[in-house]
Amino acid sequence: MVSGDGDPCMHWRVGEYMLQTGHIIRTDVFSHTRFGWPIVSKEWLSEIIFAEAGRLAGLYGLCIVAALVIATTFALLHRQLLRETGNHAVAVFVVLIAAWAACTHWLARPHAFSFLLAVLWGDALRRFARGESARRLAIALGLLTLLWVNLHGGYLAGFITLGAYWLGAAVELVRARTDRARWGVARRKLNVLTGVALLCGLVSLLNPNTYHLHIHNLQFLRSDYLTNWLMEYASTDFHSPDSRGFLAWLTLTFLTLALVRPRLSPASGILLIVWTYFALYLGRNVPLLAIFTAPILATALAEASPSWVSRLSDRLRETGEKSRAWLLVSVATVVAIAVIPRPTRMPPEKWPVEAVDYIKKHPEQFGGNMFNQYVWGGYLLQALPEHRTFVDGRTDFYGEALIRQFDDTSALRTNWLQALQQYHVSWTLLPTEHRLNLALALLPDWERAYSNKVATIYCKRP
Amino acid sequence: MNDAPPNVPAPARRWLPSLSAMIWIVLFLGLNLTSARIVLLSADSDPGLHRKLGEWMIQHRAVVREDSLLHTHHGPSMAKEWLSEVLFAAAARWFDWGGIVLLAATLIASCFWLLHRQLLAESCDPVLATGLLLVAMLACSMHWLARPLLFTHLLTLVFAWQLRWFQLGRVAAQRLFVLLPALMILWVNLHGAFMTGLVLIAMHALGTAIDARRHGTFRGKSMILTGLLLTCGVASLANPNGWGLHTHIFSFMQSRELSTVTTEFASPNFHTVGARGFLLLLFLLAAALMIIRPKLCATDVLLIGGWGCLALFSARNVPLFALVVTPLLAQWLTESMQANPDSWWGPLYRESTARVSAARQAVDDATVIAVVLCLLLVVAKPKIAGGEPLLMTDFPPSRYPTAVVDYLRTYPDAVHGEMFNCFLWGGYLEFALPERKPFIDSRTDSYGVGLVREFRTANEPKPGWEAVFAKYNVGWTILPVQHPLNRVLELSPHWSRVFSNQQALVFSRVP
Repeated sequence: MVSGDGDPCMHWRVGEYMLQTGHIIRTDVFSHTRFGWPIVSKEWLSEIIFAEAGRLAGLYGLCIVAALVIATTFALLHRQLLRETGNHAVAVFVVLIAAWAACTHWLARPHAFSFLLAVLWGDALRRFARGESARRLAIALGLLTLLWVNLHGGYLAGFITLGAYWLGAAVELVRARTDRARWGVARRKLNVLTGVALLCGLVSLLNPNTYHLHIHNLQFLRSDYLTNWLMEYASTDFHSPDSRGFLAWLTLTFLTLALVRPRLSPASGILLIVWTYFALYLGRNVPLLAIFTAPILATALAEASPSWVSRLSDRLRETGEKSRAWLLVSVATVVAIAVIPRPTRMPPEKWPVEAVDYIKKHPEQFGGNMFNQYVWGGYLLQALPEHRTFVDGRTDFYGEALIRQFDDTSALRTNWLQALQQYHVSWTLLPTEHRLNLALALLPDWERAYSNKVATIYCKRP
Repeated sequence: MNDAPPNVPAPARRWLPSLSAMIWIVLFLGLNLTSARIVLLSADSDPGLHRKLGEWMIQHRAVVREDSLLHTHHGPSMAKEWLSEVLFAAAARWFDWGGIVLLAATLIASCFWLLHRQLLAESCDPVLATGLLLVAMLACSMHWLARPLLFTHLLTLVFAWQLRWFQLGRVAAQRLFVLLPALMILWVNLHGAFMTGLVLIAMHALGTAIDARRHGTFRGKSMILTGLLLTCGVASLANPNGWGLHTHIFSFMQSRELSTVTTEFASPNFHTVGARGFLLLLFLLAAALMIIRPKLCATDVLLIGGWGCLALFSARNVPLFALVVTPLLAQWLTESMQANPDSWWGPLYRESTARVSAARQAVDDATVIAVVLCLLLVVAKPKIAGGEPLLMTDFPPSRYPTAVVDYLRTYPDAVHGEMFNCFLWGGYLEFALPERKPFIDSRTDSYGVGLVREFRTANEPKPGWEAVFAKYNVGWTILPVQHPLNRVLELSPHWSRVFSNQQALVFSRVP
């Protein structure tokens, strides 16, 4: 959860800075390449939450926060499915597949808050679709928007889902044009959703960067270069064992549509298509696909479930009512938290922990600017706060120009030396197998200062 | 009001080719006469490899048994597509690279011509059939390359078509037992993906058995299909390697490391333009399942789900998915239109498409196609009529090291020792520089994982690249300008640059 990439450490460090200074970060203080440049702090609130947890329990604190958020997300999803289908077996089955699909993105990062907010957001919209009051929808989505725009940049997912419901209501309006009563209902629904969308749009401005946050996010998403460059924005590799959960979800969706043949509302159909597209396009959207579409599949499956599934559901319900399983689960959780060793530092077989120790012991060798591996950037912010990084996980902040320069150097393109010279880099910290080390070894003014199986440091000769 | 029967074309259109033939002509000419022919030939360098192997087999009148194209690997050759290599080489003997493009374009156009005819024969509306055909073309176009894979596309279509018609009761079992085993013998010698045919039959056999069990009916069809599967399985042994070919392909498919070296075996990248057709097809399928809610039999579920999974695993399966699924989609849409004649869009659609007819014309499709083919042969090789080629087809110098090849032919002593090349250029260099053997080409199934790992060490480059070079006595490299190994060689005192232009750099080890 904390060592999947360097971002958990990066968010912790940024949050810690905000706690120390007592204000939201406005300019960069962590890199030497973009030092002093204005920052759009798009997830400041979750960074502060992670930093508080880090202060209390270090890396373990980050794990606890993420685990709490993720567990709450799927517990809520289960409750919602149970309420909407009344079928225990189907609710458990669908939530388990959804969790399997989503688990590759269970990291201690702000996007975990997006999962939780997506569950609540989807629930509010479905309640309204079932006839709950418009006022309640407006209050729920307004509050969720306020939280979401300050917790994570993924708040756009909420607007996309709201848009799907709006479009669904518009289709209903067209289909009901010959039926005055249905037309009136559809018209009212469309008006409410339009009003709520406007309200959420206004509320979304209540963040430290107001509308600049939206412009910043859209600019990032429009950059083909950056979205192609980032691994987590890539399409899913179905050869990888990590993708099995997503494949299971797609299979479940297909079999439900093909065999159960549910009569879906226009909004449900649009949601299924839109989120499946987004999940195929970007692997990081898979959890959102599972969360937003689980109720659609669960409802269809519950309606078509054979008698043995209903009997199983009844038995599960009876067992749940009689047993005190919650007590057992609580005890087991407390014991597990107390007994299982807690992570205190990043695993040294994957992260340059020993190289960082060396740098701390020999500060005189590392006076100038650093060139570091991209994924290690977040870790270095936390582990080496006295040194500024070349780059870290804040790709949207660094922008296309710098990432291109960084990539040219990392890939040893013809202009690879340009970035090292422009940013006065005097030492590098890279994986030992990195190709740049091979080139630096052949330059007369560079020498190897440290090397182990994980990391190698090259320094420029004085 | 037009009282004429629908199948009789108006006199003015009588001498026009049918809609299917027009699709064939447009596709065939489009692929041959536009820059698409360069893409067909040079999207990767495999046409060079296949031509070289085919040429050897024509010269020696024997199937390749010994693999000696690379200096890094010597061993028995599987020759899993020897027949298509011979066909490509024969085409190239007549028309040079243009012949290979002609053959590829003929295969592609014929595949979609057949698909269009299948859709029309299944009572699909001509406009709808053409629209769905365009979607299928878009999905398949990512693999329109002049390679043996195109034979698999064509044969997949024929297998899927015949099996589907057998399910619908339009084809007798005897015909299947005559046609499909005969085609399987061809397929197993044309391309390594002949297993596609066996998988299709197995899916139909299993689906039919499931349906028979669900409905409590006789499993006659399932037993026939199982018999067909066994017959085609036996027919697939009629290749130069017998059972060895099957085990070779199985072991290759099981090796994740090997099967992901080549991009086409990777999952589709939905960021690319090439995946748009696949996305569009998935969208149409999902929309049809949600709106029309067709009743699917078990075979349909297996075909869509199975080929959908395979397409998500490997981009090269996307065309197979499209060819299998398009007739199903056409059937659902046709049935939906027939079931809802009074819907608000029904009259509008009928009015706007009333003038489109797919009726048979005075001239048969085959005649029209033969005439167009002959005309293009003359264009491709005007020597038949006594002139020079009007269309030049070759590997483009903007993507391939054509200037380096010319240089090395002029100055053969400029480099010594063995070559290290980039993966994409392997097939081209095998053909263009026959006197030098490359380090690697695209036949990852032939030379195994060991060489792939060594290639990766040097190609990255990682520590240990020098040991790889020493092991294989690499004396010179030919790599794209931006290749990272060039930067290391530039800095190394043991290497010197002997050639450079905008596409490639050649480094030679200092004696």
